[in-house]
Amino acid sequence: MTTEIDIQHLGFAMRHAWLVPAFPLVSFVLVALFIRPLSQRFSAVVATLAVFSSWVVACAIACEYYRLCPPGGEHPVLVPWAFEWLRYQPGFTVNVGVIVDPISVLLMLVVTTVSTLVHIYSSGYMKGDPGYGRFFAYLNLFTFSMLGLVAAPNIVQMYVFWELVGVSSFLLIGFYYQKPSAVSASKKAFIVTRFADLGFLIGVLTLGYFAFNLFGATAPAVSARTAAHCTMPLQPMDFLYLTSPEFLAKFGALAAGSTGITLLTVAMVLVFMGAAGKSAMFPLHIWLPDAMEGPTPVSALIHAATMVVAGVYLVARMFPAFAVSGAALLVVAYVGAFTSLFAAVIGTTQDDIKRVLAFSTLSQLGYMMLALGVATMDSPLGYTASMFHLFTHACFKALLFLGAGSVIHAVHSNEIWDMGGLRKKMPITHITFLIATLAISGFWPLSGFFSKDEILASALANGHTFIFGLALFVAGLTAFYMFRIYLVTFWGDFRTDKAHHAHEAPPLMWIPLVILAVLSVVAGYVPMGKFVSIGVEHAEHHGINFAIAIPATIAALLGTGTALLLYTGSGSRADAIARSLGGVHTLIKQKFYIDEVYLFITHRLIFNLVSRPIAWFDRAVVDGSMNASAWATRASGYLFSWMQTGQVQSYSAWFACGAMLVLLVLWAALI
Amino acid sequence: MNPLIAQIAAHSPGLRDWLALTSVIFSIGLYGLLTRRNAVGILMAVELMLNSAAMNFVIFNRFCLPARMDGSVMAIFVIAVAAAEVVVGMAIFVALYRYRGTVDVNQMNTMQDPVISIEGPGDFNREVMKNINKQYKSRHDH
Repeated sequence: MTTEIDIQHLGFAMRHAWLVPAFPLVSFVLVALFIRPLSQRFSAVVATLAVFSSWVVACAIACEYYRLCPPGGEHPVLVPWAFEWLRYQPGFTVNVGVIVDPISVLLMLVVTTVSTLVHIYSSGYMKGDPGYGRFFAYLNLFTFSMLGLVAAPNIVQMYVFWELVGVSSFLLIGFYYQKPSAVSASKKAFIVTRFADLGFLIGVLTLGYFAFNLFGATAPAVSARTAAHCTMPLQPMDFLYLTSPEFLAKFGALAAGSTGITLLTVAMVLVFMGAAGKSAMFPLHIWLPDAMEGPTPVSALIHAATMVVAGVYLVARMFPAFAVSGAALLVVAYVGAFTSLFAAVIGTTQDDIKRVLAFSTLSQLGYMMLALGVATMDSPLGYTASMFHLFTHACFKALLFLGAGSVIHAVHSNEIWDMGGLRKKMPITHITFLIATLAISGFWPLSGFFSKDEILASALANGHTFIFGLALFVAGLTAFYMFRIYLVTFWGDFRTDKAHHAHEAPPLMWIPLVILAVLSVVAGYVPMGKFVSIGVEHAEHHGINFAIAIPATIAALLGTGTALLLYTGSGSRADAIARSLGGVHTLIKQKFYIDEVYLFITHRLIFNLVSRPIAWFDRAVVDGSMNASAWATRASGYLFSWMQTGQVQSYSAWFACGAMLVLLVLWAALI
Repeated sequence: MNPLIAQIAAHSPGLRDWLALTSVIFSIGLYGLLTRRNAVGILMAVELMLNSAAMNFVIFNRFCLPARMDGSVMAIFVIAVAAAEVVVGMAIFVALYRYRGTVDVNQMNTMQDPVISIEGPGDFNREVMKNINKQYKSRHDH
């Protein structure tokens, strides 16, 4: 141990790390139960202050952590606060606590920062909405859940908060519950992520089973190494144990039957299924574009900056396990790479500004996943790059969404073809949106350039040339579709009267935009390699690697150039290309008919072949047997009702016969 | 002792004879209870059965515990209760006669449920209510 840390004598923020999720929780209860019925305005103030307080504590924790473990040195995992929650049996308890390590500190900062800004923005954006107070209560609930997820020191706590963020996402997507499309979108999001979480749950149970079985043999070594950093004894479900080399060496040696696949790979692929559902990776991505039915600040907070990166965070948190499995990591890399390409291609054809941004989010999440997938424990640059991109992406994607929200607020439409010429009407939104567009496209010196550069570098350095090429192509596509919506929205003529009468957003809305724009510019200069790393080797941040920066910039320039060529002027060139592509364009525009495939599988196949027979069995056999017994009872009653003559004398005759029978029996028995 | 008295004493009926007598009385009462059509006749039959039971008390008192009076006390109780019962019963019969014009128990069959269809609980209840209402109405039409 190079750094000596006295876990019992930490600073105030560390000892009270629970304050970070506690502020939004308390505020959620207060706002939802007491303040909301009294004052809408006050609800917003309380909710915002609570999240701001969390931000202050998170900053204090970050400062203290990096004071204890200076940047560039080793970054141990600390659990400065925990209490016992579930005791299954001696030696197997689950704690609730707060984990403090580079990635949780990073995520806490990102979540609280974006959440605070989105709260401020929402107090302007949602003005006049009848559900104003309810909205802030939900936002607080979400922030609490997300911080609880980030702070989870064991996989069980993470799973619980994982579901809680799913619930808050469900509530917020369906916020306009009178709109049928919002209701179905919220149900879709919930069902798809629940389906994915089924895999996660099985993965957790598999891990937990073997963790408990192997605990006795391997825990003392792990415990000796980590006990100084935790306030509670090591438990099988703790990430510290699950990612320890001792456990993984034992677990990784177990094969699943005679298939040649290790159980570790099976467990990690199942865990990744949950991560893929939350982060909307390829086959499970269908809920994210529809989730744009929620209010725009929600899209910015949940479906761009924070909740959807929970999957990336989970993979990063379990990274050593993925790395030991190898095969599971390859799955992560290729699913991520495919998603980034797939979503970027769809993004080039969509006309709803929020949907383009949603597909862009999918694509960027794929980028983060592929960066994790190409990393190894020996050369963990991709790990750092992924977290770096998560950080920068949170800034510029939240900015893009909030900017889009500001535009939608002004134009009252999501269609980019209803906008146009807005740069004169909304100068601040325009400039900040441009900054975010440049950042996501990867232009120097904005933040996206540095994080993308690092991802590309890590792919190339670890020999994934194919993924490198694919990522480069996606970078070009990203620049293309982002400039497409930017040009169509802000340049050209006013296409509708509403665009003509648009006006700049109120200060409550543009101040967060400006803050995020500043962050989007400077975030790239954070020496992330010194702050976030895994393993003993420190990933070096090379400054600018020209062998990668030049092709990346050329790709971005090509994308931008194509967009400029097609979408300035009359726009007829874009139509001509779309027409010449014909069926291919329709296929892409219809999102490769993935939704239809799902509908076919669920409605035609599952409903008809599985659900209907089961429903028939339930109605006919289960209900039927119950009905049959009831019917038999009544029918026999009907049959015997001839005995009920209503004559007391006939009843007493029966009674006398019975009594005599009893007497006879007694007589026979006793004598 | 007078030989006649002695002979009579020697042939005085024992427990078995007395119980045979009460059994016969009880059976007559039961037969009347089950076959009489006039309610007053039924009441009389019930009286017979009660009295046979009361006699059993006395008999067992006499043969099992001759030194005590428990059975006789019980018999007096039964007589008192029977008297009260007759009063109540006759009052009911008078009311019944006023209401229905007869005390023929064969016509006292309102306890009999009309035939009920067996479709479902909703129908069941509706049918029952309909029949009850019909009977109530027909009763008040008289």
